[in-house]
Amino acid sequence: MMYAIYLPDGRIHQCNKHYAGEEELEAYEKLLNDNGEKFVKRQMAGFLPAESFFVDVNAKEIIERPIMPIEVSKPVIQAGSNEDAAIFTGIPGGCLLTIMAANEVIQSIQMGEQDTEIELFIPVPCTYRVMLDKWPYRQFVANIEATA
Amino acid sequence: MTRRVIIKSSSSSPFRISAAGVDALSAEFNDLIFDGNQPPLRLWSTGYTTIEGMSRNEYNGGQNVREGSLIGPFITPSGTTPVFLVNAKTSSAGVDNGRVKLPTFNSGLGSGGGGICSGYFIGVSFSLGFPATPSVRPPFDYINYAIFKNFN
Repeated sequence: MMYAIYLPDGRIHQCNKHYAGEEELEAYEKLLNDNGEKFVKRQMAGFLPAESFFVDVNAKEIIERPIMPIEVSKPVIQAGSNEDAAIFTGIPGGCLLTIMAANEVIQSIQMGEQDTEIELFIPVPCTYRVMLDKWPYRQFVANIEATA
Repeated sequence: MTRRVIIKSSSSSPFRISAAGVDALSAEFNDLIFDGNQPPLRLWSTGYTTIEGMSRNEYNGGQNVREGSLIGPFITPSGTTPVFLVNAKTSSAGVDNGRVKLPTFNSGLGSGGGGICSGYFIGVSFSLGFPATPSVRPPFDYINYAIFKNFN
């Protein structure tokens, strides 16, 4: 039996599958209840990755996290150009924008509710990873290469 | 194919099954298919727990680990302990391409592990946030586990 344990907003923070008899499963459910953990259980193959699923806390059902309808104008731009930019459109308002290069965060910006587009100019050649996060959407990731 | 099966009332070796052609009574461990004195391990539980790492400010303030919530309990027969395997992976595709890693005490991104304490499994994360955003915690880590339990 697979147990998805979730936070008050529906984020799955633990997924456990027990291969045990009824008695042990009942003991496990009692433990979860005693600890105040919220959970839904399902008989299924595999697991539910928290990046792709969440729990509808009212219906107590597991559903897929929606995908942000973002489009990127181009993956390669000219570094140092004031005219060549990658344009991101269709961004849901209130996203957290994170830009990484060489596995380090170089920018982290909380966007406003009215901000639905990004125009990205890059001064230094490198491959930059642009990530956008907003609950309950899945994380959006795109690589933008800035060439010399 | 002949397998010799011994069922005795002796407490030292009540039931042994050996590989073909081997005397069960004197067989070494690797030649035994089953030994009543060596309780078999069975897969009891698999899964993951997610743990958010530390922000750079929390780490600089002295914190060096974050714990997940309890998983368990793992009750095994007296004198035995469950066997568990652990690996970790960051949830963010942007960090290290989200690769699975063995448990590590390197205070880098996407590092973690887990252990059994008093019959419960507890995942831990050693992930750090980025210096550029010192108050922000890094993306959560998956601490994956498989636990084998002794059965008598």
